[in-house]
Amino acid sequence: MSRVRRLILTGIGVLVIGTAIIFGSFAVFGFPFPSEPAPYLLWVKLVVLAVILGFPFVTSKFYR
Amino acid sequence: MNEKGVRFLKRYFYFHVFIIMCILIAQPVQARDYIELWPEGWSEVESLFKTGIFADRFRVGYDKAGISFLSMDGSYFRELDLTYRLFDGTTLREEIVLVSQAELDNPLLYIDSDGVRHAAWLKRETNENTICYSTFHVPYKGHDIVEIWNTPHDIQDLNGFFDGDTMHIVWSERDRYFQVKYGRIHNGQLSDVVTISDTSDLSIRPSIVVDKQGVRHIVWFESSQQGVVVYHSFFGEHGWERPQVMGSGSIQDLQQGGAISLIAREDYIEAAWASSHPKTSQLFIYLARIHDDGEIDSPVLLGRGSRPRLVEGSTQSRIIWQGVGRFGPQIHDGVYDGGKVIEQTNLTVGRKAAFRPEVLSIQDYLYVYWLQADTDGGYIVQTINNQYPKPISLWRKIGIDEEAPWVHLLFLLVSTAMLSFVYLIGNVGVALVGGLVYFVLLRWELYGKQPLLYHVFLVGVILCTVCHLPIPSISPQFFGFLHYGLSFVLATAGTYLLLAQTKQRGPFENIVMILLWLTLFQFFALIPQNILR
Repeated sequence: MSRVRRLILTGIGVLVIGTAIIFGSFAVFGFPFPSEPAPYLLWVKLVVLAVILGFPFVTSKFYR
Repeated sequence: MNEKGVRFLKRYFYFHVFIIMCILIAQPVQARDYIELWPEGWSEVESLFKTGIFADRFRVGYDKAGISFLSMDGSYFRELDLTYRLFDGTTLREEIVLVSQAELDNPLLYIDSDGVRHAAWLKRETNENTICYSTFHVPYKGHDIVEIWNTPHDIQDLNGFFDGDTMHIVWSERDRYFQVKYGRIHNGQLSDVVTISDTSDLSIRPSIVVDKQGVRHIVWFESSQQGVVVYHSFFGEHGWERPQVMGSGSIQDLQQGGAISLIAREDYIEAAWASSHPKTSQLFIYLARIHDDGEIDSPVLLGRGSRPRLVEGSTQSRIIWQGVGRFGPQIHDGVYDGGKVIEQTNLTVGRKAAFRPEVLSIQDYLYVYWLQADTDGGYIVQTINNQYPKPISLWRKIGIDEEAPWVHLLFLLVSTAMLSFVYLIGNVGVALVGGLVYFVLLRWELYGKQPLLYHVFLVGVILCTVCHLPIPSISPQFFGFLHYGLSFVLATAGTYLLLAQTKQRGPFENIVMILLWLTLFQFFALIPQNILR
């Protein structure tokens, strides 16, 4: 299979499987209700950002 | 174009024509452009009867004979019929016009333990205003109307609470100023009439409840030049206590006929009303507790909407209210705990506005009623319940049209993909700033030598964080933490899988990574929004 064809198939696969997972979550947890973003969402993102930025420092010490 | 490309196009010509035709004809031919999402666990919505819109509320009661309604019907406010209806399920068993062709308001209906129907209402005439009272039985054998209060003053906002064999009523009467008055009806006689409010401000829309200890509590709005204030008073050891401020109301809610919903819990009273938020002009539902000793907790904000109805007789703390949807008012059901709505359901489907909800709890099942404009004029009382849930197919459950699922799905995928590119253009600023941050980080070798998955994840987190900065951007609607997180994970995994197929890593690949991640994230995040549009 050529690389371009594999790339196209991967793209279609990502969209189709991703959509199936989203619909699966609707089926299991119910269709979501639109709401205002939680005020703590920004804090969660900042914490995740801090963790991921610190991650290379931690791993570099372990694998030195 | 080279020869190979021409051969490719020729070979797949009919396939491409087929796909394009599907996309073009899918929507107008079969798939709807929106889906009516049915509230899971709830019945079909049934229409019950036509009514007018002049009274702020219609009343609902329940006993073993069925569900009773008292409403003001008619299309001219001076020629209204006060009509009692008894329904067995959705079948009309009795329809009695108690008063015909009069200027009426504020119907009250209570059913006592012997099945006697107690009704009270306001009747307005040129020089006289009257509070009327009547009792009758089912099957109907006739009724007498007693005028229990006559006054030349303006009266409005009759409300009440039935306790044992006594009907406690409150109303607002213009006795120099609009004041809240209380009285009780026993054996067809009104007694103990007393004025509760004591200011020169407009004291209106009173509500009353009797708590589990038998103490009467009254709440009302007081409107002045300074704004609207919610007051509370109760009947203590020395008579009616001095009114205390509970919170603030809104002139906007008063204009729309809002009132305070009261309910007696085991150790406290709960009051819910609508008021505008200090930062916006929109109406929000507030909830406050009044304790046995008269102590009042600060009101907490439950959510956007108006006309709250606290549900009596339910094991959970529930509230029904008129919420706000994309196509007008909707009726929402919410379970609340600790001053927060923890579960919320939109009970109305389609694009018709629904308003003025009323609710009954029958054996812990909810029966919710509301008004909806009728295409032939007037208004229709509609109902839904969670006792007989409508079976919902898996397609409908996930938001796909069950009559043409595959066509709807194809249309949804294509339109969401196109919309995600529109959102990508709208988020160029976010991509630029996020990209700048990412390229600065890449200058550190420690970050640069990390594996591809780390880079994709880092780009995703940076872009999600950067969108909170004051950069012109458009974000998909928020559909909860789970959907947001899932969209993030799928966009990250998808970007990784696509980029893992190219061995090269450079600035061009990094720009592609940023744009690809943003497009995929918006694609997955936009799916529910596109279904509901």
